[in-house]
Amino acid sequence: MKLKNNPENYSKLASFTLRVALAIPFLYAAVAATLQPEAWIGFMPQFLQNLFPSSLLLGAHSSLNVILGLWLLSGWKTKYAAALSALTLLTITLTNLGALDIIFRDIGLLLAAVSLALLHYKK
Amino acid sequence: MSAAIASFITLALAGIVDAGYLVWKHYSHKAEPLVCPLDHDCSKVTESKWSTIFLVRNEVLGLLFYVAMLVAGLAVFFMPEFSWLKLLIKFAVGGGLLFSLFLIWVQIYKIKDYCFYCMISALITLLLFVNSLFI
Repeated sequence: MKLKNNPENYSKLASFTLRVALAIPFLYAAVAATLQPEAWIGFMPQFLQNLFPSSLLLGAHSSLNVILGLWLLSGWKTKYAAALSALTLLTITLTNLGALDIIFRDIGLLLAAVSLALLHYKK
Repeated sequence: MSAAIASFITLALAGIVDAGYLVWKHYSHKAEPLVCPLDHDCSKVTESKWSTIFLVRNEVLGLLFYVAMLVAGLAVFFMPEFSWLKLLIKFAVGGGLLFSLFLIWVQIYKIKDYCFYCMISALITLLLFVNSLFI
């Protein structure tokens, strides 16, 4: 591949890798929450569980994750997709700080989303 | 097992996006030429004489394969009593992996060029195969 011929290709490949790295967990979370809702409802904030039925909460969560995953993969207006991904991951992290042993990787994903947004900031 | 099925379905979805993008690029007259993330000329591969095997374009075959894997993954989850489905998936993905290896061989030795999206598809098929062993 012509990676060495153009230094900008490294930045393009980094962007592509980051987009895939973020999209795959989003898509996985959507699929897993749909297949096994009882294992995922615990990650929803308690006040939301009190307000809405669990099927609605998980449906909305899966839909948002699918939209974000496909948006990231599409490469369309990536800085906005990355910013929304970062916001989503920040919300997940802050509302599940009690389960840090499980969600600690989300902090890495959050920073990856911020990196992607910065990479596309001026594009 | 549900985690393995969830990851299998996720990989099938990723494959659908990858192959679907190639199909859309080929058949949509409004679409711009195929853009490679590495500024590479993917069309040299995707429009070569090797782009059609078994009378159907490779990206269409790929898309059908990934859709079939998605349906099969869902079927295994919702109908676990049909254990033969798991065996069928292993054979189908094994066949897909062999076909992917053949296409990589074609790119290296016949076309002497690479298509980024085809390599991604081959990687997804490899991961699907490894994943299928845990279903």
